[in-house]
Amino acid sequence: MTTLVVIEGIVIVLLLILVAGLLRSHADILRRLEALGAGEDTPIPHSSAASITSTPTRTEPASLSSISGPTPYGDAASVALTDSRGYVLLAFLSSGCSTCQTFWKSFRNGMDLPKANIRPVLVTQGPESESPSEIRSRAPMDITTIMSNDAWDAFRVPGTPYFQLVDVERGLVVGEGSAGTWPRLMDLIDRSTGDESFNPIRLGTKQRQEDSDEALRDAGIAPGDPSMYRRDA
Amino acid sequence: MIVSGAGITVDLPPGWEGSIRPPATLPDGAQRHSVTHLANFPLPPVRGEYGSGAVDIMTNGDALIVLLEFGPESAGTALFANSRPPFLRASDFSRDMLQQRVEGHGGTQRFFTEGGRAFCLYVVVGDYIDRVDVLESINAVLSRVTIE
Repeated sequence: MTTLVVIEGIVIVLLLILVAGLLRSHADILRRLEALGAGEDTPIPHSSAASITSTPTRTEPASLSSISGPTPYGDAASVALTDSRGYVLLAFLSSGCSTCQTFWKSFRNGMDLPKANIRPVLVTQGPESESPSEIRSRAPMDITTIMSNDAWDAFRVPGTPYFQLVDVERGLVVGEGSAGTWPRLMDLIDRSTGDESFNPIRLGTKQRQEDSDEALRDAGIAPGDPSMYRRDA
Repeated sequence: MIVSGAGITVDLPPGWEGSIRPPATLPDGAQRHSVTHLANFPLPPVRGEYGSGAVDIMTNGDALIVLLEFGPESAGTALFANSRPPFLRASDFSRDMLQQRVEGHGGTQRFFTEGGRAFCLYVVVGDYIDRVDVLESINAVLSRVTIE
């Protein structure tokens, strides 16, 4: 009898150790999933939450030449995705997704993008699915934010956060995927753009004049240089 | 792509973007009327009514169309007596007709009443000398503007 009780005790202890191990393993998996951006309220993007893909072979930015919808402030807005200049970084975010909070905060804090001609555009689901006041509290005023279910459908957004980098001049989606952290997003952009030469979209008249002055200086032509006034026959 | 709001609808051609800010009552009780901005370059999200913030980044080939609504009491008054111009000519533009003077830019301003609403049409081009290059595009967009 005593032997049976001892054996039963040992079995119970072993089962307890097994259950504890399983619970710990499960918690570890959940922690890792959370870190990769798959919160309870968001599905994992099809390409997996951590993956980053570059798709230079795509010829169109989905099926849209522009993305439009209301802003959280009630304006109607439309952003061109073709036939203009620079790049548009479409950031599909939601208010409830825990990983998205990192990106809301980063955009609010004015985190720099790797290139000056990349314009971030935040895209949430439409007012029928997201509260404009919730989005207003998260989105910075100096970044265009569009609330559109149609855009989510057109871009087949698999989950949040999800990003697409569009080369607006060429009308190409040059990169897309998900990222759990800001550095991973920067990786996506770096991989998508490679060593391509960028033409700044914010080149104003003053900057152009400065560029011209610099080019002239490099060529050894200073203000008042006679060559600037010489008339060739 | 159609952008629509505040009784104004614009069917934008590729490469153009825009925003229509609806009328609102400001915290001090003042009435703000609709403001429409249309551009063939990336519009910065923070802009003044007459496009300050946007005009600063305009370059050769860029165009900005501003449709600024005034209060209903202005409709039909002497300043707003004309109807909307069907198109703009190169001679309508001047370097001196700018709300914010920027070297190289040109602009034009027209006041009109349509649908019982008073508007100021203000158009800026990034390069006054080459304004003819974008005039066709500007007029094409203006012809796609519907005011209810």
